[in-house]
Amino acid sequence: MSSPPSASASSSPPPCPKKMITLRSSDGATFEIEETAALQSKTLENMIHENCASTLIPVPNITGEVLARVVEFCSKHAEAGVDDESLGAWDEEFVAVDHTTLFDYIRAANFLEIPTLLDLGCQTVADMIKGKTPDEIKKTFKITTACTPEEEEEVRGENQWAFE
Amino acid sequence: MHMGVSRCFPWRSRTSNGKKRDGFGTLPDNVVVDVLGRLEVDQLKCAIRVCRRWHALIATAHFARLHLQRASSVTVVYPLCFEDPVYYNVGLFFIDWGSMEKKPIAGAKSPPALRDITVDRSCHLLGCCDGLFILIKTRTASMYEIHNPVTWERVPVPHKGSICGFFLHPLSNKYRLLSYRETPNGFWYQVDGLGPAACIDVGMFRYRPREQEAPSGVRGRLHWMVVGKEGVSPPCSHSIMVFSARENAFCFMPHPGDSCLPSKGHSNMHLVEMQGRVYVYAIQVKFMSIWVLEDHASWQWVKKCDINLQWNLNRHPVHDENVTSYENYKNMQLIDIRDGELLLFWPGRGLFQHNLQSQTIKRVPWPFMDGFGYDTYRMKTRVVVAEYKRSLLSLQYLLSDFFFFGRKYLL
Repeated sequence: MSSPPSASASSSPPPCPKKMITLRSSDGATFEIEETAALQSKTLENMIHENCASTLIPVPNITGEVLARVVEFCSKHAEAGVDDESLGAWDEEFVAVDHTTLFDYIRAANFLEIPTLLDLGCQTVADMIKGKTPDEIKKTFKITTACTPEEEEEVRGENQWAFE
Repeated sequence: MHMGVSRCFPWRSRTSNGKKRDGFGTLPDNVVVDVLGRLEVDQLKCAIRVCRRWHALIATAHFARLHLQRASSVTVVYPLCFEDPVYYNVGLFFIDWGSMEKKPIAGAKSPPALRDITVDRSCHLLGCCDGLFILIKTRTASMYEIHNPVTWERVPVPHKGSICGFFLHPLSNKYRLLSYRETPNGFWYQVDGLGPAACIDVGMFRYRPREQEAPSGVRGRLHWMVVGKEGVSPPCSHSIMVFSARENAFCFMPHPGDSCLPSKGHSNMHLVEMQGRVYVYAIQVKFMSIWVLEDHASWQWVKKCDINLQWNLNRHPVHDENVTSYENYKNMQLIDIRDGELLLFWPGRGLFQHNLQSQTIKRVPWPFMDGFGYDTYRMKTRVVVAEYKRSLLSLQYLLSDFFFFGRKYLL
């Protein structure tokens, strides 16, 4: 966490101490996050505004490992003075993870309603789908709920244009 | 569009082998729709076949509309070639400006390519709204069709009048057709849906759209250059007709630029709706002036550019040896504007790309027109321009708006 900038000689007021929120993951680990960073999450924002965020917010759906990374993401995106290009590069590295972790991020972003992370995660997955045949998609994402031959025929009948 | 926290799948134990878990199985429907909605139509053709769940999510009106909101549009061009007494259908094309690279090379702009869209050659294009074309059958008067080239669906839409607008009504979110019929006193306009629902009368007016086109409007308003009965030109103050879909009403507005000579009328002025803006361009002597409508409420037009059309014609092979003078300039059409590049169609000569900054021109190959057996450049050609978004919007979703012909008519 960067230290607050020192006050200049002019009449700007001294910076307020940043308000910290504590989150607790499903496996009991706790993480501190600045309030400004926490506001990236609509869920947390609502809680803060309703004054529920007194000391500790439990986040039962997300493990410590994932929550740590989500906190990192929100903090990075709340930072001032980061240009778009370097933020984009940072985002690219953030999602350069295995599929399981990526889906963990997406689920966390959906639960905590973090639009930037949800957008990043969904776009990354969409980019992985591009250029693949249906069989390749099934293999890549280990989708096992394949259609029976009868179901396949029904899909084909309703959407002939998709099979050209 | 969050479905709420309750739709989230319960957290699974991490004791299971994470590598074998189906990631998508752990995502709620709204998130899967978010992912799939980012794919282009060609990719969705694969996605719809992956599993039952993806098929169920994609094959819905809701998904089609969501997908449309994200989709980017291309310009489609339909050259209407006329050699007395026959109209020829050369084909329907979309303009491919090439994929946008993440780091574009400065100064290098590759010419656009014109790609053929397969559409029934017995129809002419009038316009396009989202992913739906409105076509008129060439051999039968007043036989119209709505067609989605992605889903192969086409439905006849019989109409007594001339269809001059095809738009999505901003309040009801339903597709509507605007049409007119000529009467002894003027032109009678009405709006109706895509089926036997009651039509709404708009009123009687002295003018009708000058060209046979059906624009889809910009922000709920449709625009045309107009003429009166027997092709008489209206005064400059009433040369543009605007239809407001919300208010179901017309108003008549002046064109930008100087007033025209009474003898000439506004035949050298053309209006085109492109990429969410309204443009008017006029050809005077050897210059093309282009205006764009900046603010509708105040009817404020801004001059975008003046193009000097005195090109070195020796550098561009002429297709029609009979064209020796600049006479044909007045039939030149503005086809597309993108990133400081204009695409201009010059009947008799071909398609040209003009860079606004460097003021350079390049001839753009148009294989179908260049090589078509009917020697299309000799004919009088007018190009219909429309904006198109490839879409899965199935006409079945709009079935409640249609005459119920049943599915056999949908292919």
